[in-house]
Amino acid sequence: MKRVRVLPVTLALVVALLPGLAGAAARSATFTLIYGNDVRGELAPCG
Amino acid sequence: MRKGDRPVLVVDGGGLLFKSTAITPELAPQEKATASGIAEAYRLMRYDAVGITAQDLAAGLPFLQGLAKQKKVPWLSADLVDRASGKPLFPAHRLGKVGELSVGLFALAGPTARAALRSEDPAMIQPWQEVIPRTLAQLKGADCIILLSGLPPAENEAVARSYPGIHLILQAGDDGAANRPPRRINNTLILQTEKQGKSMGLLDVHWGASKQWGTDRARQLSAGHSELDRVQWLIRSHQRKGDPAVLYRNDPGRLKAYQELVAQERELQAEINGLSGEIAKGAGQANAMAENRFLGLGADLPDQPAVLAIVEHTTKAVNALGQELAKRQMERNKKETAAPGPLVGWQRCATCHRTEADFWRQSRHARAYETLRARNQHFNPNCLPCHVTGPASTTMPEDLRAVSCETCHGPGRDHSNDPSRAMVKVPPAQSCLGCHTPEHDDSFDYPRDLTRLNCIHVR
Repeated sequence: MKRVRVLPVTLALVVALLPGLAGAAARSATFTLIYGNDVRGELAPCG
Repeated sequence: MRKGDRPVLVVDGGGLLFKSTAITPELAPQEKATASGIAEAYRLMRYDAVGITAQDLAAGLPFLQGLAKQKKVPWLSADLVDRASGKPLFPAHRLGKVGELSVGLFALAGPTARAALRSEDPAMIQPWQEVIPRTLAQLKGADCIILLSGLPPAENEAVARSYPGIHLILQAGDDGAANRPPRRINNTLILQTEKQGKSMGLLDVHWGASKQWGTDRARQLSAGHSELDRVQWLIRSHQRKGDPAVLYRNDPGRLKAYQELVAQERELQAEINGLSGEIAKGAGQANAMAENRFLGLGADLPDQPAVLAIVEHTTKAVNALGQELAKRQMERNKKETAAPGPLVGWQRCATCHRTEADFWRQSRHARAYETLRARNQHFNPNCLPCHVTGPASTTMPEDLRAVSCETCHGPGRDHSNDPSRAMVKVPPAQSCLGCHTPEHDDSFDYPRDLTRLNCIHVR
């Protein structure tokens, strides 16, 4: 019975700590931001 | 892009569903069908975050909420809140992983959305001065923070000055500006693309531990990309007319100008490659750097079949709804509406101006409505106004279904009753620019194109 209780608590702790751990480990990285604005015109061309 | 070696984050500033902030009840079914198609395409393209601006509220708040639920578009808004509880009506922010990095995204609808809300909507727009501090507190764990902003440009600058913790602001541009190189204010880069999805912005970010943007090389690179875009656009505009070597064989001046552009393109490309290499080597260093470029979404880019299918399906649905509307209107009117007000239609003009009418009938203006019909868009209220004469209506008389005489020369009733009453002889640029907008006709040149309109030069 105890094991059943401990498991969720451990999991919750791991999940709670993960973002912090990940953030601390990797503060420099590369990515591409693809950005746009009001794409309606191209999705609904007339003729 | 997603298949490349670099993680990708895809965002949109918003304002994608409707053209304006209000729609008429009669046209609402068609407008909503278009909006629904757009949302479906966004779902398919797997956007990471989309802002909400005033235009997205044109069909009412419940419609937008329903669409968000149905299509699972990740709309965010931190300032669009419940009037009673003050709680956000859409997710206020999103904290996600982009590769190794923790990126916080949030969005502001801005003050123009306040006017778009209806009195029955239980919602209000909170001032950004109240919203931003609490949202930044919620995004505390993020390495990099991005704001999708519906605020006016001056307020975005004020935000950038007050909150150096916001690293990027995507401005849902409403100031008529085209693509702009990123502008740095304090520690924030403000990004903007031109409207109507003609271009996508691509910002390669090398994030650094200091969370501060570096300067010099990144800035040089960004300027280099902008200049390259400009030069390539000029080269393409030459090439569109044919092979310049053949085209300009008797015009050495133009040939030389073209060749200089090609040489300039080569030099810029080499310079950009060099700078990119230097920046890539320094990716792990403390300061953050970014290279920006714009990707023109021209007709030469292949369509994604699944998105194309959505566009075609939506087009058909919108047209079918318009057809139903026309039927209802016709039943109501019993017969087709008479020419609205002072318009007489081209056939009446042709009774006296036969030569001009013959020229006009060979023109693209004369086929403007037919091109819509061929694309099954002739009941689309967003398209009709630029393809007919006078106020667009699905029940208008046949001889107003073209861009005909009275579009350029003004209403003809008075002149047809009394020929001494003058008409506009040469249409002013203003009467063309309503439809020949940069979005729809980026090669429009009033003096040049006027000479192509033979009917005004007949006499």
